[in-house]
Amino acid sequence: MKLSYNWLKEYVSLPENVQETADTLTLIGLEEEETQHLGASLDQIIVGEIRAVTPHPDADRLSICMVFDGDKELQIVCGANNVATGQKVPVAPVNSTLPIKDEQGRSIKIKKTKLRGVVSEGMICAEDELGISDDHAGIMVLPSDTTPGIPLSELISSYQDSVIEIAITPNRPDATSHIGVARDLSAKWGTPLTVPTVTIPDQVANQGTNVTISIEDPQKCSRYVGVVMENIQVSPSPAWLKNRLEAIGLRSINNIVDVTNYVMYEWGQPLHAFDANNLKGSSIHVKSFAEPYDFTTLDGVTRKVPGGSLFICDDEQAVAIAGIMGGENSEVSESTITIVLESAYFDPSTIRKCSKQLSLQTDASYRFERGIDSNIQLTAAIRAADLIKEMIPEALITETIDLHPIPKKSLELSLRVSRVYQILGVEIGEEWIINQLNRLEITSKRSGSGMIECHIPSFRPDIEREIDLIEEIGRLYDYNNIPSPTNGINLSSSPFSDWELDKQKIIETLVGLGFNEIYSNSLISEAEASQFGDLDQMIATLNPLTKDMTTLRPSLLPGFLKASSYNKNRNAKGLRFFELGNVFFNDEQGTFHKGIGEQTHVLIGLAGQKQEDHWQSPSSKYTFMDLKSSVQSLWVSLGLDHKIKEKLDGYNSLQYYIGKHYIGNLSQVNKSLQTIYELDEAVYFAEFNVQLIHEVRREVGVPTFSKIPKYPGIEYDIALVMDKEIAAGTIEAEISQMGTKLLNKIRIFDVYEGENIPKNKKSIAYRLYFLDPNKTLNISDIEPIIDKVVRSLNKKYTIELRS
Amino acid sequence: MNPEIAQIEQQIKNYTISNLDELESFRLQFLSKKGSIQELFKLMGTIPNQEKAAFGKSLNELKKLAQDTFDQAKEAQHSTQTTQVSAIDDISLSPEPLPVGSIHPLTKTLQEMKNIFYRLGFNIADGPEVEDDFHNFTALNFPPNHPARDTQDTFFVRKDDDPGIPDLVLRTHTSPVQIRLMEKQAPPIRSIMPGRVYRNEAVSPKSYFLFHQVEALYVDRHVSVADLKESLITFVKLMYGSDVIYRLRPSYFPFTEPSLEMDIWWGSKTTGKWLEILGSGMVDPNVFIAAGVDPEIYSGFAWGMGVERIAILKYGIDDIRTFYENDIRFLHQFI
Repeated sequence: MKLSYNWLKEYVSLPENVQETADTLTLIGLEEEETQHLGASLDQIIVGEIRAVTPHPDADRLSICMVFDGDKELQIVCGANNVATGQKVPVAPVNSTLPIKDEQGRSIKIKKTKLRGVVSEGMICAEDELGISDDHAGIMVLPSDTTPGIPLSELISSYQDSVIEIAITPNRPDATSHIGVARDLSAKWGTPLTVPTVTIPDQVANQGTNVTISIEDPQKCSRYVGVVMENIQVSPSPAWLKNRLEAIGLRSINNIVDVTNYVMYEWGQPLHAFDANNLKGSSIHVKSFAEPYDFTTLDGVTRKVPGGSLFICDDEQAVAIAGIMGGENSEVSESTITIVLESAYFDPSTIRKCSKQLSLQTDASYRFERGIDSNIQLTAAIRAADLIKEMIPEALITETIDLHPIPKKSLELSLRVSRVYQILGVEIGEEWIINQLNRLEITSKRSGSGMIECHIPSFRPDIEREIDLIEEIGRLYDYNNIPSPTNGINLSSSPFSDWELDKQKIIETLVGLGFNEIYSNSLISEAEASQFGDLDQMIATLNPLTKDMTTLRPSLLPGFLKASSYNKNRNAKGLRFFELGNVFFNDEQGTFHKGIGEQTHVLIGLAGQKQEDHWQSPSSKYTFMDLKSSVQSLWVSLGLDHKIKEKLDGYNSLQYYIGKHYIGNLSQVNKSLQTIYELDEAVYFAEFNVQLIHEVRREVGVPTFSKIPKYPGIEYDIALVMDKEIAAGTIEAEISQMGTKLLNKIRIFDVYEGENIPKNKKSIAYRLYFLDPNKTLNISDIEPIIDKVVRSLNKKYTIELRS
Repeated sequence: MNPEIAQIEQQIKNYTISNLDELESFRLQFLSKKGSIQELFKLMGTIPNQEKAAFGKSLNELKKLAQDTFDQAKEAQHSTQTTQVSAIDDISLSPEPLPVGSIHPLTKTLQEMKNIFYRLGFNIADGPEVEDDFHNFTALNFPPNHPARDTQDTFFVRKDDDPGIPDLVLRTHTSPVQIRLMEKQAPPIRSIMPGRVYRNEAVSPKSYFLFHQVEALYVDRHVSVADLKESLITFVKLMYGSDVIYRLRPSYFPFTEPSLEMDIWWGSKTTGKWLEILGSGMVDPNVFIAAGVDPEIYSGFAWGMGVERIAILKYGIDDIRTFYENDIRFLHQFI
């Protein structure tokens, strides 16, 4: 909300330094967003005398003026049609800055320029260009006896004000008015708050004689004040009123409408003025319709207002959407002579719902939906009537009607002084607390030992509990003034969880293996998601803002492919990516919620060139084995290399298992995905369930020390000739199972097919490392094992030793 | 001195060795078994006894001179040999590059934050990204008609008319993890909860429909705003340096009361400005009640901050979307 400094000063004394006030507002919870100074100085603008006017040779609308600036003649090209020889005019010379800002809020500096080929050395100003008014009808013409060369500021003093824009948190409806903000400042500074005196007339009736008011549902409108005024003359507002409203960014309409806005920004009570002669049957009914209602608001827009919305109606039709905007049909106009001023309390949720449905937030709805002062309606209406009478002496209040079906109960709260200390951590004296609360008009007094009784004023509907009062004390005390705790922070011995450490370990390992971490979107389009499985098995959002973010990723693969594609399009050659993140899927039992599976995965991917041309080796592309070796290193690093089993799944995909648990796969991305993501080279990825990795890691436990072997081991090579269909890994697994405890590790060192080997066969050479921790092995210890292995492989797979 | 020794000495001193061939000739002439010095040793027998010692001494000196001359020349020759190694043995050639991994700047920032909290005695907890209405809103004291519950601001995953089936949303903040922690663990609790959160917002350089938060929660007996303030200050000092300028100001969040925000001064003394970096407050009694903690016995504070925001400040990144584009030229800057 914007605050006019001049306006605020009426209620509380303020320091000259606007920034000081703005800073104080921030520190009491009304955060300054921006501070502006209006009506900048006219010092740089001088008075000039037009000595000659000639038409521009190349532009019909422009004239070339010779302007005397008190010292010399300047040539200025001017577009106004009222320019004439002999006029005294305001001139912004070259290098001067205009008092106004451009649309982007930047200052406008006058430069020497050429307009259609003619040099122009300054600018003759219109009133709007000087910030004096909105008038852009032509240049401003000054009295003819003005001396050329003097600063314009000697002639005209512009209206100056400062505007502080503050952010209002939802718990501070009271701060949506100048008086509300002044009250906070007065409480903070301990200076008096002066509010306008409003004298409530004696004859306030709960029903009128000429105008009748009815409320259909008092829950939605608990109070309706109507003030009928006659002898109204609608005219432009006086300067003081215009200046105030324009300072806070409102447009001045006419004296009546401006007063309703003024009182809203003064007291926080939205008001509305109806032309009484347009109210059929001189009646006001606050009611709603079951069916949607087409209604033209005073901004000229016809809106379909949903059924159930609250309206103000006369005997025949709706005349306003309650609490949001008045109707065109009852608008105050130049011909208005009688008005009804409305000052009501509408239920916040009713107004919020309607405003949301209409996507229409107004200054009034903004206040009603936050909850206005439930006790101010009559005061605000009379205040407006008083202001109208000030401007229109003939105006008369003929009726004041106050319909108040549900008076708001006032709230009393108890505050424990000990609780203030407990929450804020600073011992604040009882006296100080009582004093501060009273300044906020929360009437407070001591009641027994350590207890304070507080009466909550109607303008603070947010204060409902003891803790709300403590917050008031805290913000006035200033959190910056709370001293450090004397006991210091207790330290906890609780370490990072194993889950956290395992995730970190994975990240560290992959970074160490030369992979770059990515963060991809977890919401993808339905079209994209459908490439990765059955949409029925995925989780979708019901109300995405755009179609690009409908489905929760079922895998980390789309993110990797998108990132690869993005980089490929920017000429990246080789990509090594990994990501750790959550994936989502349909799961009846659910991870946290029934129906929703949520798992942490890690993806490792390679795409494109492994190596560009280099003098040591020619360029090469990533292969399946490149990724497999990284995955292998990850298992080693996680201490799981002995636990992991792999299973072939087609010729270009491997599945990984720990025990019976499937933990993920390593695959080449299929051609159709490659095409969709415009990746022309082979792409490989591995994706694993981190939760399972974590669980197994915890089962395996902390690695314990095993003695460095004292005795040398033995290496034994066997080349096996087998059918091409047999996977080398299968045989490796068989060997390692039969190799007894002495077999320490196996490595495939040669793969051969071709000459000397039958056509449907291949030769795989395995190097077996045997080790006995207790003695030096002899070849004779090993041979029986080898024999057994070879015999068994021969029996099971008809594998033979290569001769 | 024996004239022959003197003559050879002179020869050695005058010998120029400018290449390997000359070096070899020198060796053959003076130092080989058939070289001139060795020949002189053979004369030993012919030298009268009383002169033998002197002759031997000067002969040895001669031999040493020859050897030193040879060694020096050899070394000199080798140091000028570089032009003669093969082209691929040139060690100034650039090697094959090995891939260098990198941590995403958000992970990097998060790790830094985690480390700071670890020093403050906080552990780490996490919770689901798909969250029910109770944990995301109700338990956190959001009134039933709070704007955040509106579909305009929040992604819904399930909305059922049956009140027995809870609405599911993509969590809008990490605060629901607070509730989960308090539900399963009795105080004292001292944890941070990092994670991904979602807002149904249009994408712009300043906002993205997903981002990351870190939530901190401390619940125990006798926890006050003073403790909150102390930990906030410690955090910003560790994160931004001990000379960081900060301020606390009152604010509002449904789940804390009192609520406060922390700003730090960013930029120079004159042209800088206050930037909001985190929101915090004392856990609202209603939140304690919803999570089954007695607010008369326990008190606590909570705070939350955006990881992107902190990273943006830290690295001077100007567009939040950069974090999710994964441009390798961007990622490589965070080795």
